[in-house]
Amino acid sequence: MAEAAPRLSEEDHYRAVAASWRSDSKRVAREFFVIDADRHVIEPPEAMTKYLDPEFAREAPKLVTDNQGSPRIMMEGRLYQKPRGYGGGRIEGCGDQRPRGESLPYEEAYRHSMAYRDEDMDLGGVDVGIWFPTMGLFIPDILDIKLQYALCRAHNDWMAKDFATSRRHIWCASIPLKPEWAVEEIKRCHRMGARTVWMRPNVMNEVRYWNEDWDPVWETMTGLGMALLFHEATGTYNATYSTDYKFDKYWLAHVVSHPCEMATGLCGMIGYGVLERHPALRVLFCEAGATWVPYFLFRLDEHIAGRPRVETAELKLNPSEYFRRQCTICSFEPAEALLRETVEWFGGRNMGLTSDYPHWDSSGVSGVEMYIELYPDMEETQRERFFSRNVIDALNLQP
Amino acid sequence: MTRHVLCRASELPPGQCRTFRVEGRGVALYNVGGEFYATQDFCRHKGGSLGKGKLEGAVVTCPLHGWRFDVRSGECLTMSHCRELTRYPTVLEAGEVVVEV
Repeated sequence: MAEAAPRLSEEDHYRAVAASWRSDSKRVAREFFVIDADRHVIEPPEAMTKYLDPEFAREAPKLVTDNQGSPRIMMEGRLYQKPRGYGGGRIEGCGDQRPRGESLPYEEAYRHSMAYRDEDMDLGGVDVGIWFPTMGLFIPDILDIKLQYALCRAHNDWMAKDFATSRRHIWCASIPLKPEWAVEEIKRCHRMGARTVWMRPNVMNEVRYWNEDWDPVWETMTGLGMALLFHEATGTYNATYSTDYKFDKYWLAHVVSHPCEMATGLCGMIGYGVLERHPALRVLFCEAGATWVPYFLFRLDEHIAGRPRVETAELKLNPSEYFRRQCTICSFEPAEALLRETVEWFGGRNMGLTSDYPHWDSSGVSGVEMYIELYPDMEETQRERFFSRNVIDALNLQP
Repeated sequence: MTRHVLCRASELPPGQCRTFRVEGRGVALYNVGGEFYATQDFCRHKGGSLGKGKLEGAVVTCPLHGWRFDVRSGECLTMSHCRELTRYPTVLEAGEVVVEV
């Protein structure tokens, strides 16, 4: 009878994962193992058409120039990002991406994104990136659910076959907003190498994913060991709580939509018992800052304590306990007010490094060095947790 | 603190700034009307290189997102709660700019 392999200590486990996943070509921060939990591919136009089922060819997304001269993607006759009006997107459309700080037009940006994705990680000190779409962030806006599903499949195929060419590219699967199809797509993407699934935190096309009809999706993900990452996108046609019908200024919509949509996603996942019913589900909240999280967890805990138990019977723990057990914030601004207090509030856990590379509001390739230099007094264990260990746990990465 | 020669003073005319690597860290050097000042190169916002920014008088503007700093005091002029930039003493010696890091 074969002997079971000895169980690694926590420290040895982290070291083994780092040794296995580390990149030898990094030029800076080589002493640290770093996972960037929010990087974006700038997709070329073919990303959603190359592998699109032929029956949807007539509805394939098209790259167009709007009447302000900005490149945008047209799907179902609508432009993305939404060019104007309430909840509108950036006036520059798909342009103004900044992989190395300087603004690049769309065509240069997607060529750079493909050609230099590894070199930019090396320049930034990043070993492994978790890669989100950019244009694909708007697939959940698609009204025709069959077309939405087809575009998810096409985008996922492109990510798996054309973009993610090494272990450094952990890509996020796109899923349709129909649970039974989402389950099938998650299984298919897992077979193609995906470890994570991304979703918008909004209520898109009236889908409230925290309801029990989505339980098979979470069961599938936990069974396959896949984590869920929420990522908002401003410039949508859907009725989001925070921007549509309120702000027709992009900058203001962007300020509000990320944290407010993420907060409702967090409250929904906890308050409707998703994390209670699926204790193995790991959830990461990206690009929304961090300091709102203690505030909302306080409000959730405080309300649980003050309301009749019959209203909250499905929750056995305090909301903040679910968060600490299952959630990770993958975004914060280095200059964010009360950041130090927030890190202390989490005891150095539940937070991971992100760059949002190469979007206009990102830190480009400078992120890791910046954190080392701006926070020289960060305790070593805390730095290791922030640079990789919290996300190793969230994604259950193995050597 | 150790002393490092960054460049000859004539190589950085008034109104210009530049980035240097010193002991593995970025140092931005500014010439403000003939007076030399040095700060950390990373912008406290999102890490833009201040040495690649635009220097107007004693104010540098980050090339990434436009945050502004007074290079003499390190004070951030964009966000009131932002910590000051780390500053490094500079001296002119025999026509060379020397910084203590």
